[in-house]
Amino acid sequence: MSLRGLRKYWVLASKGFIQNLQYSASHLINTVASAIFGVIYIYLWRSVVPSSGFGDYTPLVMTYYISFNQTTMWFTQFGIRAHVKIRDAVRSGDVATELLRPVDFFSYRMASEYGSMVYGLIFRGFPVGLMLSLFGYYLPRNPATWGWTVLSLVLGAYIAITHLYLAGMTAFWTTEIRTVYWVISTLNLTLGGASMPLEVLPQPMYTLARWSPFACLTFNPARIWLELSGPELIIPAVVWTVVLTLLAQWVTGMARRKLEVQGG
Amino acid sequence: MSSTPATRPQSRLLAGIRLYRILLSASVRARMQYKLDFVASATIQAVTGLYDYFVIAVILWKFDTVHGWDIYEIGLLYAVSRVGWGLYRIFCDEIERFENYIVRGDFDSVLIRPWPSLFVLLSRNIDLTRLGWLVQGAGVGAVSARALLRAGVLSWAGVGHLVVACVSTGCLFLAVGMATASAAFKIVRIEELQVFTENASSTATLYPLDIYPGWLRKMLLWVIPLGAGNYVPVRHLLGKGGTWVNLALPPVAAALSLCLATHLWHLGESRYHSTGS
Repeated sequence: MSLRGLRKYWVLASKGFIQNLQYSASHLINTVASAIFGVIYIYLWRSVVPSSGFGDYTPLVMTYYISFNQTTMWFTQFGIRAHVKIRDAVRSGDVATELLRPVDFFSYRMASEYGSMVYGLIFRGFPVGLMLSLFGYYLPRNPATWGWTVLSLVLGAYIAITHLYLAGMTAFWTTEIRTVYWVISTLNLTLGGASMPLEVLPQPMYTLARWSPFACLTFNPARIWLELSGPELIIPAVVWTVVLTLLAQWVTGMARRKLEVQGG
Repeated sequence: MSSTPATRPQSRLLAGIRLYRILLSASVRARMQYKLDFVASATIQAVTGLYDYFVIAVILWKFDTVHGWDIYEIGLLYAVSRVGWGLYRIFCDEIERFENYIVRGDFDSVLIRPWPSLFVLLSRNIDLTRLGWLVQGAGVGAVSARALLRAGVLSWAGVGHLVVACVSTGCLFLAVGMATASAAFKIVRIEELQVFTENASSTATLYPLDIYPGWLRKMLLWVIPLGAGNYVPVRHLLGKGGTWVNLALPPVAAALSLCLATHLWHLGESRYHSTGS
C-alpha cells in the first residue's frame, strides 16, 4: 500500500483520537457536575444532622456516606444503556438477529454493560471521589471490608443492569419504554439510598426499602464500606440476583416467543 | 431605497408573532394526536420529578428545619424553581435539545429560514408533556403559600412577587440553556455540560443558599444565576433578610442574563460550520 493510501488511515485515526478527546472533556465536565451534586448533599446533611448524630450517622459519617455513594453510583446506577439498546434493536428489527446469536441474550447484554460500568467507575467515579475527598473520605481499616464492598458493588451493578434490562424488554410489547424507565430510575435513587440513608425514611417505607433490591445498589455497599454493617448485607443481594436472573430469563423467553409469533 | 411592508420592523414583529402562534398551535395539535401518550408522559414526569421534593420532605420530617427554613418555606424555593424549569421546558425544549441539531447537521436547515435561528428554534415545538413539572411546582407552591399566608409569614402582595419570580426563573433557565447551547457550536456535545449548568445548579437552588460554602453561593448568584430567581426574592418575602432590591433582582437578572446569552449565541453562530455531510 502506498504512503498516500496509508495517509487516510492516519487521518481517520487522528479524527477518532480528537473525537475521544472531546468526549473526555465532556466527561470531565460531568465529573465536576457530579462532584457539585456531592457537595450539595454533603452541605445539606451537615446543616441538618446534629453534632451528636442520628443513629449511626454523625455529620462526618454522612459526608463519608455521600462521598462514597457519589463515587460508586457511576458503577451501580449511571451509564447503563441496556434498555436503550434493546428498545432500539426492537424498533429497527435487529433484535431478531441478536436473538439468533449463539449467546444467551441476557448474558450478552449483561457482559457488555459491565464493561462500560467499569469505565464509569474508573474514569468518572474515582475522579468524583477524589474531588469529594477534600470534604472527607472514609477508608476501611479492615482489609476484608474492601473485598466485601467490591463483591457488594458487583452484585449491586448486576441488579441495576437487570432492572434496566427488564425495562428494555418491555419494548417487545409497548415499543415505548420511557415510563417504565423513569419509574425504575426514580426507585433506584429513592429506595436505593443514594442521597440519604434509608434510616431517615418513615415506617413502613424504611422496611420496604431496606429489603428491596434497590437497597443493594448503594445503601448496602455504603454501610459495608463505612463498617457500619458486616458482610451479612451481601445475602439480600445474592437472593435478589437469583430472583431477578430467573425473572429476566423468563421475560426473555416470552419475548422470544412473541417475536417468533410475529414472524420476525 | 424604501422598505417594503414585510421588511418594516413593526410589520416584521407582527408577522413574527403571528407565525409563532401558528407554529405553536400546529405543534400542540401534533402532540395531541397521541393523547394517551401525552397524559401518561405528563403524569409520570410529575410523579418522578417529585424525587427532589421527596428528599426535602423526608429530611424535614426527620429534622424539622434546614438552616432555619421549614418545609413550607423550602416549598416556596422548590415551587419557584420547578415552575421556572417547567416554563422553560414547555416553551424552549428545542434549546435544551440543541446538541442534536449540531451532531446531525440539522442546524443548516434552521439557518436557511428567513428568520433568526433562535426564533425558528423557539417556535418549532411546544412540549406540553413538560406540564407535569409546572403543575407539580405550582401544587407545592400553592400548599406552601396557603400555610404561610395563614401563619401571616407571607402576604398576598408576596404571592404576586412569587409569580414574577417564577417567570423570571423561567427566563433565567432559558438564558442558562442558551449559553450552554452556544457551547455546542464549539464543543458539539453539551449533554454533560447541561448536567452541570442546569441539573446540578437547579438542584442546589432547591435549598437555602446559606448552607453552602461561599464559592458555591457566588456561583449560583453570579455565574449561573438560578439562585437569583428563587432564593433572593423568597428570602426577603419570608422576612429572612434583604431589602426591596431582592424583589427587583429576579427580572433584572433575567434580562441581563438573556442579553448575555443572546450575545454568546450570536458569537457561536457566527463561527458555526456545518458537518458537511
